[in-house]
This record gives sequence, C-alpha cells and structure tokens, in this order.
Amino acid sequence: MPGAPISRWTMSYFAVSLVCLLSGLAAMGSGFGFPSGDVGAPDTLVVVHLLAIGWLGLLFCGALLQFVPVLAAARPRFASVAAPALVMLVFGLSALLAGFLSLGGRAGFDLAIMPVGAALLVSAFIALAVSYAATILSRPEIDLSGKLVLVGLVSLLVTIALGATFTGVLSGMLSTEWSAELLLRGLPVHAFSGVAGWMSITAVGVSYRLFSMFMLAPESGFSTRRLIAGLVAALAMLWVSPFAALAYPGADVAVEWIAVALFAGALFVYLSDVFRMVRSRRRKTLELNTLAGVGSLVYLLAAVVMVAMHQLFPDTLAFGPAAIYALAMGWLSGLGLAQLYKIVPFVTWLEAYGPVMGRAAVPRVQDLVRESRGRSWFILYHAGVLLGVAGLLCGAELAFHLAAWVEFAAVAGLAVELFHARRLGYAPADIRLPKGAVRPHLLFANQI
Amino acid sequence: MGFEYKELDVRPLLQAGVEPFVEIMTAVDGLGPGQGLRLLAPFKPQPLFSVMERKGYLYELSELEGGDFEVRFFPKKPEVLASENADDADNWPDPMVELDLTDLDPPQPMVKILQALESMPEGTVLFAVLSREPVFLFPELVKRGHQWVGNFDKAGTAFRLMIRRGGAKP
Repeated sequence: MPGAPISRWTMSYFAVSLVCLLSGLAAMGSGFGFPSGDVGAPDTLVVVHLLAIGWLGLLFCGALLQFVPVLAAARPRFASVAAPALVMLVFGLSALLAGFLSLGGRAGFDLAIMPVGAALLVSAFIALAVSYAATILSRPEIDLSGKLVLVGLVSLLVTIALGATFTGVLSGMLSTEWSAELLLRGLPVHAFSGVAGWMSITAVGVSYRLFSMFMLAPESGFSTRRLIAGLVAALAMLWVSPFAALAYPGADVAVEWIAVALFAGALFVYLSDVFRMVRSRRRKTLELNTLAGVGSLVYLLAAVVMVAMHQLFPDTLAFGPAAIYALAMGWLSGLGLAQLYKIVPFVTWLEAYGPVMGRAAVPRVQDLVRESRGRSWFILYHAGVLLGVAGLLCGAELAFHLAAWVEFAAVAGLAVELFHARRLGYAPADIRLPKGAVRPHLLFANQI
Repeated sequence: MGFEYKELDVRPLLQAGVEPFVEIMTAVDGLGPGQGLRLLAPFKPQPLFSVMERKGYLYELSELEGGDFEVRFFPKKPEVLASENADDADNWPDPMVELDLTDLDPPQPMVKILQALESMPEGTVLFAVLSREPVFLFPELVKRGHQWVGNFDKAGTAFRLMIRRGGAKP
C-alpha cells in the first residue's frame, strides 16, 4: 500500500535527544571537557558522545523513522525495531558515558562497561539502518535523497565499527601491539565518518526533499551523479588514508587532501543545487524553518574553509576544533533544530486533525507555533554558535562557556515552543479539538 | 508491445562519415507519448542506451542479417499507484471536480482534497494535480472508504491523482 503512516516513536526520540543536547550544553558551559581539558580527555569524550549520539544520533534516527517512509512513499519495513532500538540506544549511551567517566576517574565502574555499551549501540544502530535501507530499497527507483541516505547509513556503519573497536582498546580488553596506532590513526576517521559521512550526508539527502517540498521548488535538474560520485570518492579516500600511511609513510596527508578537496567539490555541487532551488522556488516568502535551515549551510561552508586552513596551518589558531564545532553546533544542530521546528508541529497537526480534515474547521499547521517567538530563539541560538566559534578560534575559554549557556537558553526556549505545539497550546480555542480530533500524547503518536 | 515506432536508419549517415548523435536526438525529441524509435545501425550503439534511459526509454536489441543491429527504444511506463481497494479506474465516470494544487505546499493539498470530497456525492470522481505524491493523504483516503489511482506525469514533475468518492461516513 503506497503512503506513509505517522511514525509512532519519533517524538520519543526527539524528546530524549533534546534532553541530551541540553545536558551537553550545560556540561560545556560548566567547563567540563574541551577546551579546559584535552581534546582526547575522557571528559571531552563524554560531552562529544552526549552530543553526537545522544543529541544528533537520536535526532537523526527519529527523523528518519518518519522521513524515510515519506521519501520512499512506502510503509516502513521492520518498523517494530524503533522502540527497542531507542531503549538500547539510551542504555548503550549511558554505559558508554559511565565508562568514559570511569576512565577519567570520576566514576568507579569496571571499564568493561564501555564495550558492553558499544555492543548495545551497535545493535540498535544496525537494526535501525537495516529498517531504513529496506524501506528505501523497496521502491524500484531510488531518488537522490534516498541514495544519499543510503551512503550516510554506510558511513554510520563504519563510524560505529571503529567506535566499538576503540572501546575495546580503551577498556584494555583488546590489547595488541598496534592498539595505540589504531587509536591514533583511527580517531580522525571515526570522527569524520560520523560528522561528515553519516550525519552531514544524511542531512544533505533529507534537505533536498525538505527544501524542495517547502519552497515549492522543482525536484529535477540536480547534479545527482556528480554529487554521489564525489561523496563516495571522498569517503573512500577518508577510509583508505590510514592504510596509505602504513604503506607509504606520509602518504596519508596527500590522501587527506584529496578527501578534503572531494568533500569541498561535493559541497559546491550541493550548494549550487540549493541555490537553484531557492531561485526557482514558487513560494516566495520562506518560512522560519526553511530560512534557518538554509542559514545553517553557511557553517558548512565555513567549516570546510577551516578544515582546509587547519591542513595548511596546523599550528595557527584552533581551526580544527572550530571546524568540528561549526559542523556540529552550527550546521547539523542548526539544521536539526530548524527541521524539528517544522516536523513536530506538522506531525502533531496531522495526527490531531487528520481524521476530521474537511469535515470540521481545524487550525492550520502554522497556528500550532508562534513564529515570532521561534525566530527570537533561533537568532539567540546562532549568536551563541558564532560566539562559540570565535571563542575557540581565539582561545577565549570564557566566551566558549558563555556561548554554551546562550545556546542552552535558546534550545530550552525552542523546547518549550515544541511542548506547546504538541499540546495544541497555541491553537485557537474554538477549533482546538473539534469532535473526532485526536489529542496527541506528548512523547509518542497514537496507534492508528 | 503497443507502441508505434518511428524509424531512423543511421547507416547511410555513418557511411558518409557523419556523426549521427544529433540526428538521433532530434528524432527522439520529436516522439510523442506512446511512440518509440526503431534505430538501424551497423554496430551496437552502447553509449546511447544510458542517454535514452535518462530520457525515459528502455530498449530491445536484435541483430539483423549482415551483422547490423536494430534497436527498438520504447517509453518506460510510469508506475501507476493505486489504493488496495481500487477497482478498474477505466470504468470510473469523468471527474466531477478538477483541482490544480501544484502551487500549494504541504499539507494544503491534502486539506483541499479532503474538503472537496466531503461535498461530493458517492461514486463521483475528483481529479487533482499536485507537485508530489501526497503520502499522508493516501492512508486517510482509504480509511474514509475512498478509492484512488495516481501517477507522475512523464517529466516526473506533477502527480496526477483520481479519487472516487466512497459511501462510508464513519
């Protein structure tokens, strides 16, 4: 049967992910981990994984649960994995973080808790990836968005395979002569596969569809082949770079350069596609979510420039950390928050009013939010991110901490707005719940 | 296969030393819907296959006597989607209501369609053009007892949807 149902557990994923984002920002604001501590210090690992798995990972997985069936216009395959996967992700992440805290002497768990957590995380991510891939592949023809999501899923598998191996090394359970080498060479690959591969490519894939959908821009004329070929080649370079170093010492730098150049080329193709969509759109005034989403692309561009600067001048300014921060907090989180601001009211509206649509007067989707408030929170959020990037570049720790609290306030404000949307709090009272409408639960969708 | 074929023999062109690509593309662009192209060539025109596939054509290849090839290019059938409860749409009456919803962003098309259906008598048909598949509308239509069939146009830029009003009024 063609058509997509409302995903039952997406809101649960979103709720947990927002809690993780707020916790991560509070930790950053309190001076926990980098830059007060070392980049690779256990405290930094706690913050990084709280944000990468807890916030972005859960956000993306939750969004894909809803989005992949829309993309494929098909019912989701293996949809029953969603709830158990969420439970495993929460327990797996908690175990991993407990392990990092113990590694840093802040807690006293046996370090074996790390690989145990990793096993839970790997199982959950694989289950979800299989479900998404099977749904996308159920259609005879796969569009650009679908292909990009598939490439992103492959990167996810590489990321978690490396991450799980590291937990073996860090806990001392996996100890060979090349353990130290593996950590050293594998860590950048792990980080970039996660941020640039899994999350950025997936986000790009999803954004093609969302941008064209909400800007009413034609979904044709994209440079599909060039984009996919560039990204696959870039990822391949990223993944062979450690082996290149083993074969020819020093060759990894050249391979990394090729990877950066290929990523930059793919980014150029993507940005020109987005630019064309913006120009040929039929909807002239853009909504807040589209504006904020397109705006977050600026960080993507800035991050690629900073990565290149880092390669050129590794010792001048903190380009590397600033690039990662711009990617994670500016591009991925900025786009993520912007789309949350659309998806939550949209899905809530659909669930609440779908059954009575056309039979009774119902609010419009935009009646479920107050865009003026949302706009203020987005401006505040991006002010925080800019301050954070500047703080990192100049080594101003206080500015970095302050930036985290500014972002915290903005995210908390947006979370309250989303709460109101779920509760239909802004809907005009006379048509809030016409007869036959369904009041949505806060944290999950009603079984239909 | 029920296609009407135009014929193009590129053998004389090649013999005269002329590159036939432009000629072939001109012929393809002149094809109407439901029309195919019969191409006669002295070799397998391998690079042409992917070009034609992107233009929405599949091919059948047969070798002629003397080593030449005949390629028949025919249009891909756009995939037709239908609700599981849909009977043969060829027997449906002409649409009573026609809506052009290509300039509305989601979820407006869904709202307009469900609104229009409410005021239509049972058994009548609504025709709508949208800029994409209304994936959330499909389950709602079936839940309300309506039948639907739909497909993308050849260029893939518009989704055409026919809905037959059901009788159920839950």
